[in-house]
Amino acid sequence: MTRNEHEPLSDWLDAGEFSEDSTDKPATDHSPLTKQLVVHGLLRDAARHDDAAEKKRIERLLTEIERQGGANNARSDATVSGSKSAAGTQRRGSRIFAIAGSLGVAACLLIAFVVLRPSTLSAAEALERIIQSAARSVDRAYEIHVLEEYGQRRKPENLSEQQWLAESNENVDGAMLYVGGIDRHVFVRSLNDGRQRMSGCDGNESWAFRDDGPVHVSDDLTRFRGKIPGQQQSIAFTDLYSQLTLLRDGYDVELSEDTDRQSQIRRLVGHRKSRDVRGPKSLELHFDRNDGTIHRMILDGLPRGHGGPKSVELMLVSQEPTEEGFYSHDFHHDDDRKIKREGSQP
Amino acid sequence: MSVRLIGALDLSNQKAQLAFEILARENSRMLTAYLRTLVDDESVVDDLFQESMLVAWRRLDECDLSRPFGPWLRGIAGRLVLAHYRKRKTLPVFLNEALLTHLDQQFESISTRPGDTWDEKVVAIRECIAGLSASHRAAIEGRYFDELKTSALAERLDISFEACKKRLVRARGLLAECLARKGILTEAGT
Repeated sequence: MTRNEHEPLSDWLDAGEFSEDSTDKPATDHSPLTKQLVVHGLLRDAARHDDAAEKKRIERLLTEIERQGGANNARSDATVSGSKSAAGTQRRGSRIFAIAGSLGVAACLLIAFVVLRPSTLSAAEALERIIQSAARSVDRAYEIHVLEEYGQRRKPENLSEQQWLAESNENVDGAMLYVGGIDRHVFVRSLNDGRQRMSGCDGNESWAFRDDGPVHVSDDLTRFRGKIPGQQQSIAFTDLYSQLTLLRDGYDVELSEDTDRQSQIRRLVGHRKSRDVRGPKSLELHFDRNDGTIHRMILDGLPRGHGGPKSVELMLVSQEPTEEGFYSHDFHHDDDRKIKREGSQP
Repeated sequence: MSVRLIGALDLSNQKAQLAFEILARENSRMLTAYLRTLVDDESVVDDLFQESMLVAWRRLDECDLSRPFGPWLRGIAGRLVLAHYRKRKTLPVFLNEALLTHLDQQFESISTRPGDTWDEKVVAIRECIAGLSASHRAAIEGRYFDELKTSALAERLDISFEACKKRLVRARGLLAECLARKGILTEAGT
């Protein structure tokens, strides 16, 4: 390769110039040029690589695939491309294409089986899978059960008298939480006096109301989360995606031994690394090892500061798609209900 | 509505989607490095990454999964890169299908190196940089790790703009030789 052949590349890489001059003949020996380019790429990649940005890139991709209709689109694209083909040999090509497609899916299934078999799944991978699942716009309903209340016999040393005596006016035992991906949830619970309180977020605004009060609405998506169990402990159920990401650094996570290899459900246990990390002392996530869906979640050792139970359990009770508009407040009340924008918290 | 579509997926489609997710994760670092080789603007790298992966997803039925996924994905990405430059009428004369074929061979050579991750496969480049002379190392570090433009780098190194360009070409050549000695780059396709 001559010096002249090197110059357009150097101009392009180092001077931000490009040449399409016909007197610059395309290189006949690509090896030096290619190696310059590869080295350039590896250097640029080494300098710019950022793990967090890489993860976001993948998350964005998976969200986009979900948004476009997931696998249905791929299948329908294949069908459309097949239907567009004319007759005769093209039909035969379509059949071959379909067979090849089926083999491709079969190969995918094989890969999925090999890669996802229990012995190869690490705790970190499991956590990432759970987080990815939480990011998807899939509707899930969880019923909440109180497993253990705090005893009143002795005040913990690190708690003020006021905090120790605080009692929640809400009863989360039997409450329902509906989640539909990032920033979409509805939380329904009863008050100690028998009335009901609802709060939620549709991705654009958050809201809360009692069954006999005005609807409070805010552009701040976190505005009405305060009374959700676990929220004050930094493990909010409502925004599973962003909250589960806190487990990456704040907790030691461990994937339990797989005792039932036929079962799809695996168990991930997390223990708080230190008291500096706000959150329950430990948690258990029982999740589908294939798609990361949380089927059961136990939070134990919830901080006592706001009243409420010591230990709660969330059980997945439905994955049925909700009706259109379900996460908006007006789905849940009459049209004549008074709306108060960014009012005080009810 | 997305939730309804997802709700309608049958098991095999979910498995296919999951398998693609695995393939995407396995190849994401390689694809990003490949695009950074050909595109300077990081936002364009990001866009082309998404576009390449989405095209791969939509055409997954066309992929021969008995063969490596990486070359197929790079083929898609390479064509999108060419289209990107053609659209802006800034396609350099040397950037063509033949060059992309050679580039692909080098990336495939790297992909088959020992190591679980892309970064483990290319870790040798750090050793090669450390082995450069002080002047060449300063040029590489200034240009790539301090992200200086060549004019600013020339000023820092107190040399002319043209001399700086030549030094960068020479330094990259030395790194290529080092990587070839370590078996990272191949002579294939010369």
